[in-house]
Amino acid sequence: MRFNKAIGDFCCVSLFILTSLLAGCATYSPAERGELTPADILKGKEAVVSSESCEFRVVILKDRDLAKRYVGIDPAESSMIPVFMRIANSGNRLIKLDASGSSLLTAAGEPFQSLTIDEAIEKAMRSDAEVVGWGIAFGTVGAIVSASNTASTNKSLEEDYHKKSFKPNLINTESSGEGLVFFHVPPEKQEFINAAVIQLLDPTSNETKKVTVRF
Amino acid sequence: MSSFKFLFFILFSCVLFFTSGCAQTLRVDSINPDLNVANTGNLSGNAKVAFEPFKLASKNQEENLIGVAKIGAFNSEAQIVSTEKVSNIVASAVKRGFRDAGFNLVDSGDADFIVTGLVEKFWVDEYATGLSFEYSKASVRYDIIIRNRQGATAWANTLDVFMASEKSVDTTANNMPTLSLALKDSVEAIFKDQTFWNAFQK
Repeated sequence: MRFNKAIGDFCCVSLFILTSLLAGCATYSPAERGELTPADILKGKEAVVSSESCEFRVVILKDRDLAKRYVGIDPAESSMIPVFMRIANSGNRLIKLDASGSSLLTAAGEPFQSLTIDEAIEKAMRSDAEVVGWGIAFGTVGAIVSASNTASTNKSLEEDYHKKSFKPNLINTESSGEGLVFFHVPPEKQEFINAAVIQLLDPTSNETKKVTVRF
Repeated sequence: MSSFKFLFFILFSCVLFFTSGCAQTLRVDSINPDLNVANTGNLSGNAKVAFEPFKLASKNQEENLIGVAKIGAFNSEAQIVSTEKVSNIVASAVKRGFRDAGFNLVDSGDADFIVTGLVEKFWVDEYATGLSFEYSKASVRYDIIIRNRQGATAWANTLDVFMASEKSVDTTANNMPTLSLALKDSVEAIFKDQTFWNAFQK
């Protein structure tokens, strides 16, 4: 009888440890903002263009390893390409990045629009759906650990995406803005992307201008 | 037997009604976060500033809708509606920040600087799937442009704050404190920026 109880206890403890270990794997811990190395930039196809008294630095993160490490997604799986942009305003007028009017282009000129940060987060969460399943797989104990872990993972992801998103949208003279803009691109089109069209807005006149950066 | 079925149906309907959140709108009176703003730019107190009414960035934005809560056992969605317009809530908080920082708020005819604002987002909702713990998430994003008497831009910035609450079993009570905190952080960020103070030294 005592032997059976010991086996039972051992099984419970083993299950708990196994569940905890597995749940511990479901973390979101991509690279920090400043960790794009020169090698990453080469891999990500950096392009620099000067226009409208601004310098546009664009790095497209469609390489799977790079995107996984930097924002935790596989671009093909999530149908989404993150693009790192840096806009330096050396002119004498205030400018604003109009991300909603910006797009990625294929060589044939097919455009793919940007996503809002909330849409990008939703896509990232959806493509990482395996996190939710552990509760079902490991019963009550798994559900508790998994429930807490899923919320933590998604919270970290949301905070990180907001932290890395392009800001500030309004760019003063002699200042710059930088960060990620996400674009919806179906997997079969991703390899054909060869340019970014960045739309700028003059907040005074509400006029818009487009700058094309080819990779 | 049929009366038993009927009674069961009525009871079940009542339980569904009360647990799914019968009120689909939550009303909020005011959002006035306590600000901690200091006059780090050593203003003499004579910088005269006027505010133009803040605007919403999109015509599709609803003036009083500030979020969505998930209430009841089935996480039914309920709109969070403020009695005050979103543009006024943000403008009031920014104005208080300027006053606390030592600016002299005057009418536009007497002002050395005019402040305009464009509110892009003032929103709180919940991560609540029913499968895991919940958290509230608030986003506050607006442009501030300050022009001098000649109409030239003296300073401009996009204030953009995202804030998530701690995890809990039911996070609805955390919604408004999280939104208020995000607004507070965004206003305080204006006065922590040295380029802001430099604009008034010119």
